[in-house]
Amino acid sequence: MTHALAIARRDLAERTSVFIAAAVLAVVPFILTLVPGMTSFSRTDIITTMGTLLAVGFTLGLALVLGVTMIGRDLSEKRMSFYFSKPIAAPAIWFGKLTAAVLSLAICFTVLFVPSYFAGTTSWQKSWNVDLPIAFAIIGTVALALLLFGHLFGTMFRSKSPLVALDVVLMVVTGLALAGIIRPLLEGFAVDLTVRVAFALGGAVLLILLACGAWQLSKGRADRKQNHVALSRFVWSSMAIVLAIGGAFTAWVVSASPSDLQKPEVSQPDQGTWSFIYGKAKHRMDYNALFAYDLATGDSIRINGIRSWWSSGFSRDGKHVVYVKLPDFRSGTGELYLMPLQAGAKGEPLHIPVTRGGAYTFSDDSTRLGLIDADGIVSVYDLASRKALVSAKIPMSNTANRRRFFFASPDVVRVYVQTPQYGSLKLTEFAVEIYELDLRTRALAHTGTYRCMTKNFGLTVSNDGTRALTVERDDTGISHANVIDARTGQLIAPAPAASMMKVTLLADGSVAALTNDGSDEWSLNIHGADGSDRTTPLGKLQKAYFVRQLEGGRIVIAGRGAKDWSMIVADYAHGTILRREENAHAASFGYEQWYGSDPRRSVAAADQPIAMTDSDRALYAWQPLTGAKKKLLQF
Amino acid sequence: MNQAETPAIRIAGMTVRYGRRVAVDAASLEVPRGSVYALLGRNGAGKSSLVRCALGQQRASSGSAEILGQDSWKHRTHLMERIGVVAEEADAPPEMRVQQLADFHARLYSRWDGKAFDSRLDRFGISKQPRYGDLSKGQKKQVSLALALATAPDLIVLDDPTLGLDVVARKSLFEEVIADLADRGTTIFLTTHDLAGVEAIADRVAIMNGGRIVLDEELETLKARFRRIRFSAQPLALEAASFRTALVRSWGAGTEAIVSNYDDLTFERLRSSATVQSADVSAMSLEEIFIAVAGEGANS
Repeated sequence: MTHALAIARRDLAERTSVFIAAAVLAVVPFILTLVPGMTSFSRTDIITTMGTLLAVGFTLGLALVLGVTMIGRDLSEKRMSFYFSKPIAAPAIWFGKLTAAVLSLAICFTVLFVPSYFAGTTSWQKSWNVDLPIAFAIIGTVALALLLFGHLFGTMFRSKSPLVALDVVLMVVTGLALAGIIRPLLEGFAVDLTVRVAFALGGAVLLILLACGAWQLSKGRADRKQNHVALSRFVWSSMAIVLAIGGAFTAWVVSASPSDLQKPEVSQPDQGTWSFIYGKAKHRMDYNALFAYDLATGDSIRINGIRSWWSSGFSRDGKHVVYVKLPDFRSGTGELYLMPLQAGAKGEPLHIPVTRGGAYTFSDDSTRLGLIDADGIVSVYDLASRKALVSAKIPMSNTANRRRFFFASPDVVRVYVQTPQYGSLKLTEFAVEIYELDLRTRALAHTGTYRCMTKNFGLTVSNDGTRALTVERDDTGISHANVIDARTGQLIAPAPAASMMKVTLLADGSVAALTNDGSDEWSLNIHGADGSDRTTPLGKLQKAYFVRQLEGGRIVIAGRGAKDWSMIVADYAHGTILRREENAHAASFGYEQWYGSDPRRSVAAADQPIAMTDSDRALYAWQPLTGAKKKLLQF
Repeated sequence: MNQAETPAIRIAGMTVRYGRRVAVDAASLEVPRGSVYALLGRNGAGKSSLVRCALGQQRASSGSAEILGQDSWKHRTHLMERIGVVAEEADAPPEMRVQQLADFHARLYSRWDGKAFDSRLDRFGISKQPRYGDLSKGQKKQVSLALALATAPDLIVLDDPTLGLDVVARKSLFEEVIADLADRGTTIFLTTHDLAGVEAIADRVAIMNGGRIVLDEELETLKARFRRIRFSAQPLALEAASFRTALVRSWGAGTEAIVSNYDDLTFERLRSSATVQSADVSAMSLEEIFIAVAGEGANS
């Protein structure tokens, strides 16, 4: 300690001229206020701004210079033997010199900053809008990093050893490895976790750089090249350990299995047994994991590198899914992957570039894929050949609030685009423009318009694509529903007014509504396309919403009773309740009908399981007709 | 072996490589305590590399070095308390004033003798005010020497201490300083080109050539066994007399040879052989021996 202080004292005594230079520079902001032309600015603003810029610039510049020279210059000028011929331990030499460098930076920063700061404290706070301790911490950390990296590079490059080529290679490898540690976390939306990991890695790197000088001098002593060898060995082997720990941590984070999800959300398509399940993973802070999950078998496929689950789409039969992989977290474009939904499957790149905000839909036979990107360009690809069949730009689509589309037939893609009506004086008026893109003629036809009163608009289309149900919520919060011609947008009939979750279009074009009469007695009302009305009483409920339509004239409804949610299977053809599963809640919220790419309703096979949770936080595959429950996961 | 019998410096099988170049090649030597040991060698012979490794400033590629009975690499910090070092090149920070250098040393050495430093500096005629970098080459050496001696070392290592010194200072260094230290029992290990200076004070000399120690013995013994012989015959006569030659060349009609195993009896045998009409022998200076051993024409 005494020896380290002796070294620090010696180094500080050597830097008197640097301190004098800082003192001279500290006067510059005050002199600047006297320069003609500067008098139009606030005097205190000039002093505080220039004083801060000079203090920060001088300190950071000095940090780099001191870093490069504090050991490197003595080594290259063969003066390190001066210290090693004295009874001074190598760590004392390093920490003595490091202490002197840090003190030099602190003294210079203080000399430059303090006079200008006290000349206009209020002005400084206003100009820089940052807390002083935070500013000091940032500047101090950056200065220390520059000092230590300066030392690292100074030692490496001053040694004039061919080893520097290996250092450069290892630097690149380290950079790539760090990106490899961080990127998967960002892909899992783990901003907080990423920040902590980045801080931990940064701290570890600083610790390595703090220790490396002591090690370097202990092993390399007065010899320039042996110093370089010792430094490189220490830095890269320590870095390898840090990267291995960081990599193992990231590998553990991304290894989250479905059972690690804390409170998973489920997105279940109308067909098939596979769903997406996703959410924050246990003990992993804000890291989100996404899986394709087979409710029938419990098999899961981890999907990495996906920006979001809404940048994805299931095929109509539920056997395939497409999703977007972004090359990096911030990228606006990525690549589309197609994955068959079966155990052990892997996503296959389609080599189709897509924008982040794109949407996807399969043809009913899953041979074609429709894309609509953020600019409103619709493209259709043949999945077997990966070739584009047709592409067209939807007018005004780049300002659209929402775009939905589906294959009305194997050769026709119908697109619904909700756009604000800029031609209208009433800013709250919106329109849904309807287009059809014909693959045979390659022509885009505008087939109709539906005017809606609000942006809060929902659209769902019958399975055959002829009728559509619109739901709008006006400014007062009241919902309005209409049945329209799905191709032209012409009004067919008003539907029972209900919120989006309480009214739906059945596959045959009938409208189903969940209503109560002002009391807690709820009923399911079916308004047939032929004008018929059928009512099925549901009993006492507080809340209710549609889950899924089953074949055989059945419908599954989620209802909340006095205590728990229950799942109700109603036979609307006969007006009876087939099953009431208590303490059960649909895991998939069912809003895909309003927000998914394909607006069509379909009928699920009766034996298809429904993802369900209970109050014990377990996920089940539930058979609505038999009531059989298979516990899949416990959260 | 008790402490007094332990050599001040023991180097065993030391090899120093810089890439493919071998600077020191399996060198071994022992410096007895209380002796004045001179390591001689041409530029690039490997002396400074050997000294740096011996002092624990640089790691040898192989071999070991002990100073005062301890491994100099492992125990350098502790050992340096007892060793004064004057490096070949001035290595003190050039910005430091002489006074600051003295203060710095005073903080590091428990046996620092400020008065001895001041008086030695007075004798050298150097002020304490100038910056080290502003001193002449010779003055830098003198300051370094004064600093090293003021720590009252048990061993002093001088790597080419006369480099840059004028004739007077050089004479003073050898005759006053080193002789005085030697009288007090301080072990002195020096490398030098100044063979005339060292001849008067060295107890033992070693010669390095091409990284190898080619000679290591008491100076008196060395001088006794090396002789210049001139005779009027072909060199073959030397072999007949069993002389080992370090250098052989023609001298007029005869031969001049430097032999490394001279003794009077053998010389008489040479002189009395039938082919030799006349023969003279003369003693050699250390410089002449050095040239014979490490010079261009030396026998390997």
